[in-house]
Amino acid sequence: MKNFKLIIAVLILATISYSCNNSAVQRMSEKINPEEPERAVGMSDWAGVEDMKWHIGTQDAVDVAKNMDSAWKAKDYETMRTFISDTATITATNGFTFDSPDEFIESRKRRDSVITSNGATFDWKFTNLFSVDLDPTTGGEHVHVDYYGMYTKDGKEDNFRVMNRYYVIDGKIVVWNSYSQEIIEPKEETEEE
Amino acid sequence: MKKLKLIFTISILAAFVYSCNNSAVQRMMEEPVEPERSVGFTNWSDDGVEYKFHLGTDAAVQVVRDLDKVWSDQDWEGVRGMLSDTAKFYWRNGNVFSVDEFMTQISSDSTGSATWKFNGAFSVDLDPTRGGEHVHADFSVSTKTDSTTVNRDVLERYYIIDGKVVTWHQYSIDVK
Repeated sequence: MKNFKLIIAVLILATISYSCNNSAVQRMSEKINPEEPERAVGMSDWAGVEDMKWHIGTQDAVDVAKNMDSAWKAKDYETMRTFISDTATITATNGFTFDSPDEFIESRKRRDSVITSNGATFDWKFTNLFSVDLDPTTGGEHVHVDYYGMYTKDGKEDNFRVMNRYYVIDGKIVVWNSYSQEIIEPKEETEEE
Repeated sequence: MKKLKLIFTISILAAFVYSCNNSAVQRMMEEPVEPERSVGFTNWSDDGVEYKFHLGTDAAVQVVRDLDKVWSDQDWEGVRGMLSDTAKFYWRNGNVFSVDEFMTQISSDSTGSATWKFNGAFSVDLDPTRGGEHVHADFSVSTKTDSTTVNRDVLERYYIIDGKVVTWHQYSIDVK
């Protein structure tokens, strides 16, 4: 009986010791993996989201832009179309807004055909690609794609930079705005980090 | 003697249990802090490493907000103070300006006819372990020329190091 009491006493001591230490593990765990939202920076003055800051977006949204670009390069218009929502608004650098995504695709086809028949080439390369998001709890991200464009005809090259900003929801482009910057004298792209 | 043996055995058991659990605490302490998430891609690389974009800092965004404020106030000295001596400006129409050319341009009458609204700004960073962030800012700009008003949305990308603008790229889209 005496032994039994001793065993119980020591077991209680061991349990208390384990329990204290386990609380420490839990506290550490909470400290290292807090259920806090991801960091956000900046500001927005767009109506309805004035109080929001920007988060980093997702690779899924980035991939939509990447895949769209691959399809465009391959002149695979059907695949291009699959990345654009049926109700998308697409606005070119000159402010022209296409009536529909289908009109946009048809205009690409016509333009590519004219370029080819003129013996010209139009090529571009990605410079930067990333996505940001005002509210990660709701769908929609703003993907920014930076291009360096090269139009060549009769041995003469015209260069320009374009920044496409896509608003992507559920893998489809819903808004597509193209911002441009002319290049008077082509220069090597500056490397920046 | 029997009792002593028992106490000794149970004590070792308790110490073992404590020790195992304590190792868990230590492992958690040693667990490396995960770097922040990054996405996208760039072909800018000065060392062959492939970089992705991280979120930047509010400090870099604040530089652009302050710059907008001093420009709005036409405080040209204030603007100059926020530019690196070797800064370059890539205007949407293809003009490339040095700091002096830029200061002459913005302090001339041409900016007097423009009004703008600052719509938003954020910062991204390819390598948070090194200085330099890319702040993107979005403006709606109206420019009056004679009797016409031209409206544009302007995206500006600033490369900022140590609170100074080093490169400044401007892109635009016409608003009809």
